[in-house]
Amino acid sequence: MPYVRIEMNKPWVSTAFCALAGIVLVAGVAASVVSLSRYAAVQQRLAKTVAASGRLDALEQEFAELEALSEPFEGLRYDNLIDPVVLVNSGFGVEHVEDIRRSTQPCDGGYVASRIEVSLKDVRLANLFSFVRTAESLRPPLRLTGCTIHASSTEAGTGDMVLKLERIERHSE
Amino acid sequence: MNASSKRNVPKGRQAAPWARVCYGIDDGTGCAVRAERSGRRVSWTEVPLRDAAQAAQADNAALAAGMPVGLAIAAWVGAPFPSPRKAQRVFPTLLDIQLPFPLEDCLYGFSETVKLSAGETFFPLSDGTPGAADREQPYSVASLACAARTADVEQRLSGLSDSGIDPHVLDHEGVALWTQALREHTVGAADGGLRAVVLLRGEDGLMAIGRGTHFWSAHRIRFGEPAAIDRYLRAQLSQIGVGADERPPVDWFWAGTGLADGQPGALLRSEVELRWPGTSTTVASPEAFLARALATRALVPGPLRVNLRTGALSHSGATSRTHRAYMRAAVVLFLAGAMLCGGAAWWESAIAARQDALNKGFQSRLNRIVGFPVQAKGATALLIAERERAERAETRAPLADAFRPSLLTVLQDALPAIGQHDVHVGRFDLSSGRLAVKGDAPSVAAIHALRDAIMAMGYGASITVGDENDARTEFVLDAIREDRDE
Repeated sequence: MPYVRIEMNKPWVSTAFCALAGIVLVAGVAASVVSLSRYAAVQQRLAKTVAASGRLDALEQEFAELEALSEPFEGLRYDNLIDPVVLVNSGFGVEHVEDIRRSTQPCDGGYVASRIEVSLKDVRLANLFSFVRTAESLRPPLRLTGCTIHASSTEAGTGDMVLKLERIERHSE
Repeated sequence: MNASSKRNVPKGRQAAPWARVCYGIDDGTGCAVRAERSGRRVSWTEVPLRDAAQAAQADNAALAAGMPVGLAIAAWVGAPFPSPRKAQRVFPTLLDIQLPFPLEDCLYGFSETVKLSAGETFFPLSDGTPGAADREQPYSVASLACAARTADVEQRLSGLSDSGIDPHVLDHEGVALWTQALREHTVGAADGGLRAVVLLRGEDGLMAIGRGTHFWSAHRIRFGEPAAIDRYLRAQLSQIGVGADERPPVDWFWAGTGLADGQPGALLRSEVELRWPGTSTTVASPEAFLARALATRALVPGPLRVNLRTGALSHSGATSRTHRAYMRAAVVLFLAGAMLCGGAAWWESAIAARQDALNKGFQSRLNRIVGFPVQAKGATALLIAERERAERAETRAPLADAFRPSLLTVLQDALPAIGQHDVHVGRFDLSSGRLAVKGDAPSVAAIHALRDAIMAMGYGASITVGDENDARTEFVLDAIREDRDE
């Protein structure tokens, strides 16, 4: 294998090598000093990144929890859902309700929160429990979100009632 | 020959740094020693002079001999510059003035530069004018110059060569005597008195004198001339302002041969010590004193190191080995520097790689979590992710509400409680976080009992008691669910 022979006996070569060694040593010491002086800042920067990563872990968990909210609604059937008004009519034994107000709020994943506010007049208050049980046992459930009762001053156990109901629905496209 | 090319480069550095073993030769007394260094310590054994050169070659050791005092001079030169570097440039010129022959015809070397404090009188330095000793020391730095005529050095080497000796180092015998005495008999902190080291051999000898640790001068002496020693001491003492009638005590150190009772050396010793009383010490192994002094000075660094075998007469083997030693040191420094550079570069790249990996991992996770590529970095990217989470939480709020406890349980608890306390309800209003009841009760106590029952269901309730009408008290109860997080 060919090799290069350095003639160290030549004064200029050895002088140049000594100078080079000195330069390399000074450069090495300077580089080490610079690195050491930056150590604290680097540590701080890495610690900051690790802390941000920890915050990201928490965020990931929160995102996963939000994502999991829709899971119970995934396997349900959303066609042929019973109309809440029909259910109210049958639950309270009335032929028609005084007032109906409907609204919807879109959610993620194609879900919609369908809300209905039903006003009833002179109904039996005792029917409320069985009605709510029936409504909330449906799939998807029709949840009672509010209830206002004005008791009748003339007949005990009866009164006017406003029911607020909400159901998560998914409208097929 | 160029003056600067002949200068001894090392300052306080041993003449043979490349050697671990050195043979010191004192052909005057016929003694030789083999000295070996271990750190700064030197151990030695006597060897026959005739075998020394061969043994040195076999040992791959250095060989050190002395230049007799009569053929070499040792003199202090001083300069009034505070900068040693600047002073070193003028020392050859100052030495040239002191020498009785041209500097161009000499080989010479300078010891390490010594800084002098104001008014210091340890050194016999003066500008030569009458009364100079009484004036303030005019010099800031000084160096001991050793010089010998090139012809004398050639002759000395030729003489040694005839005995088969080719020394790597040719030291000044007087200075070697002085420094070895300092090494073996240390000067105490408070001991700054006169000191004289005398080596006797054959018909004559040599003497080095100084004060404390500071060398003054070296002289050749003859047994039959004790008055010469007087003159040398007087001459030096006058330089530091000691009067002619004063005789300060002297610490005498004796080495060499002929020191036994009845021999010429012993007679000289008793005569001199009578004139200059003080302490008197015979060094250990006095015959080998100079030989081990020469070997020690060649092996270990210390004060006043010189090598008169320099310039054109320098030993080629010593030069190349010194060169090799320097080159080895240069290689070590180069490697150390390269390692430091490499280490620093590796550290920087490792940190950068770690930071880069963390950043990339962070960014890819962030993009996956939020579902779209986020251009911003660091804290801003986190803010974007948090905003996205808040928006998603808002759009999914109805889904989250679906998991809240049913209001049916509140109805089932609240309505029986109302009936139990004989409360007539005028208006009952229930929503997910609030319960309001307006009606009348048979007593205030019944109202409070109703409030307590509502509070037991997890509500914070307040009541407003109104008028009493037909023995019933009207009230309004307003309750807010306490665990409600909205």
